[in-house]
Amino acid sequence: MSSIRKTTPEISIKLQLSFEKKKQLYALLKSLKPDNIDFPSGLSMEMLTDYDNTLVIKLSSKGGFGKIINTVDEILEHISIGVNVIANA
Amino acid sequence: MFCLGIESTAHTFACSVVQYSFYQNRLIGKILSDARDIYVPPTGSGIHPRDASRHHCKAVETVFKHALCSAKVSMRDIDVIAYSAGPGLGPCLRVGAVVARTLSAFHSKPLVPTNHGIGHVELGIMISRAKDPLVLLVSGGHTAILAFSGKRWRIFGETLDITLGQLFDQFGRSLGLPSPCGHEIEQLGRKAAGNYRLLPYVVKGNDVSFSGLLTSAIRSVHNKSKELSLGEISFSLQETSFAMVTEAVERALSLTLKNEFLIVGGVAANNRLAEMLKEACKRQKCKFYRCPAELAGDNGAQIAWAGILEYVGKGRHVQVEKAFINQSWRINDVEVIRN
Amino acid sequence: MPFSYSILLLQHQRRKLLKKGAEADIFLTDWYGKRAIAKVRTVKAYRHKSLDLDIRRRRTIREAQMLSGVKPIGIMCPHVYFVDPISCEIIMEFLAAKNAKEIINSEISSQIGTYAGLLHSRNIIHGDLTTSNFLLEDKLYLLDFGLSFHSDRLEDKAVDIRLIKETFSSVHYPQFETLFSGFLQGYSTIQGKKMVKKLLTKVSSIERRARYALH
Repeated sequence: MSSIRKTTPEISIKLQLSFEKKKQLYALLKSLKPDNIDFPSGLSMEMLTDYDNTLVIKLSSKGGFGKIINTVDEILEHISIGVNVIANA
Repeated sequence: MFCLGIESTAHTFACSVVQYSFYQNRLIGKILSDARDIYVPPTGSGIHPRDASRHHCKAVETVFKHALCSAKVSMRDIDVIAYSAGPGLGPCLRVGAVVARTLSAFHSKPLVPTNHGIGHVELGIMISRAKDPLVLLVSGGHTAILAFSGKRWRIFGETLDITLGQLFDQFGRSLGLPSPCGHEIEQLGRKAAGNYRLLPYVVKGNDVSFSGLLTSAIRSVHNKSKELSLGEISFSLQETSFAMVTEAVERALSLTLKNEFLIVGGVAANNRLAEMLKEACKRQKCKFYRCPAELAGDNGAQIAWAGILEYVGKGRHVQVEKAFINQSWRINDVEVIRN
Repeated sequence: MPFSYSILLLQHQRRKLLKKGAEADIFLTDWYGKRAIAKVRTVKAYRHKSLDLDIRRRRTIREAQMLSGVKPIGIMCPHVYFVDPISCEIIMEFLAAKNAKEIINSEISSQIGTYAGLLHSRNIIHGDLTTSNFLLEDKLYLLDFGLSFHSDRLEDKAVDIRLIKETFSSVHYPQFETLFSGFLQGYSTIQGKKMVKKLLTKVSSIERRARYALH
């Protein structure tokens, strides 16, 4: 029986979030930064802002699906709670 | 002045507003609100960090709003924000940290990372007004005997493996009880009070070790005959583990010669443990203090108060980008300014 | 009435309470005209009766055995005159000595290390290595073997070392570095530097285990 070599595709995800106010955008960006450390190998992330109050998050994974899914999941959750608390304050 | 405290180290997501002021050169605090939401894992399983953090994310909005409303303040009135930076479970810690950082950045408020264990200790001191006690911190995350000297809470005794809270939790889970199990086990044990069975009692100097006791208790449940009920095993488990902790405390009292003793942390709510410690304090001629049950478990007020002491006492706060979390932040690694 | 009880009654009348320790009451008494210490493991009312009796008796017997048993190794201990496992008391030699906790320095901690090394070389775990269990007259004396046991496990020896380290870092924290390195130096003269290294690694892993770990 021939051995089947498992090949996982290289995955890239781009998240784009448009905020109403720059103040909101920068508050979120600052709050996410401290946790952008100790990424598992094969996973990388970049966060940038765009001119028109857009937060762009680029992730790429060479190490399979699990880690990138968890990371995106957590980031979106964090953004949602950040947005919630400043919307209600 | 007002401090918003955010707690999210493990089971509990909590927010609290504590008002602080100076009176006769001393910092005093008043708890204005205490909002919490506790994650309950599926019966028989322990806390899964990611599931707990998802729970916390869903709870953020309600708990946060509730804390501000009950205190009748808005973010405009808040002077400083404190959050539990550790020790705890990574995904859970990040929830509270993100909330705190976002609020701090958006409203331009100083941000203070606080140690969860120190929160328990300092809140207990604030409420009891003990001046220089020997402290027993017993919870799911800690079992340690502490005394303050040279700017730190130093460890005079602790568990060598699992904590008292973990002992009851893991035993309870093996019985199919929902976590946290402490209260249920206390009730079970009370029904069988008096029927004691010898279980492994392990005190090593000022330290204790519960893993042998846990294994033996679980084995007793599986091997139990008709005569030995669940209640009896629960009773014996409590009596043994509490006696171990009480002995370690007595040794520490004898070593440090403190004349005040304070118990804090979730397990401080257990009446049998408090009873035993009170008795030991009598023998050592020591005043006994206990954190009230409603504030013994994890809460936002402990974080707020510890944050106030950091901020007002040392002027310490961090930039949002440097607002760290540390899963294994030891209580004796923190330099503290006592009130 | 049994012989032992009549002797104890006589002793009891002439006793003076010196200290209420964590575990036992210490009395100044006399033994056939000689000044002596009576160490009585009193009942702890907060413990269940059967647990309490088991602990007190076991530790009394263990301590008495060890106090005699470690002398051939070169460990100085108070001489045991009388043991009563029923009332859980030991009558032993009185030592007009200073407690090491009050006068600790790196030389004394080095001697403590040597004693620990000697015990461990015979697979004896003291179980309560704190500075308050050492007395210094002209020589260093070791007390309180109630928690001691026999073991060849590295883990048990590491726990022994961890306790003295904990004592240095809490009670004697300003001198922690000199005291602990003094201790290790004394220990290594008996057990060697390799063993010290192995033990320190074990101690670190025990300390890491005691950190927050919910599962």
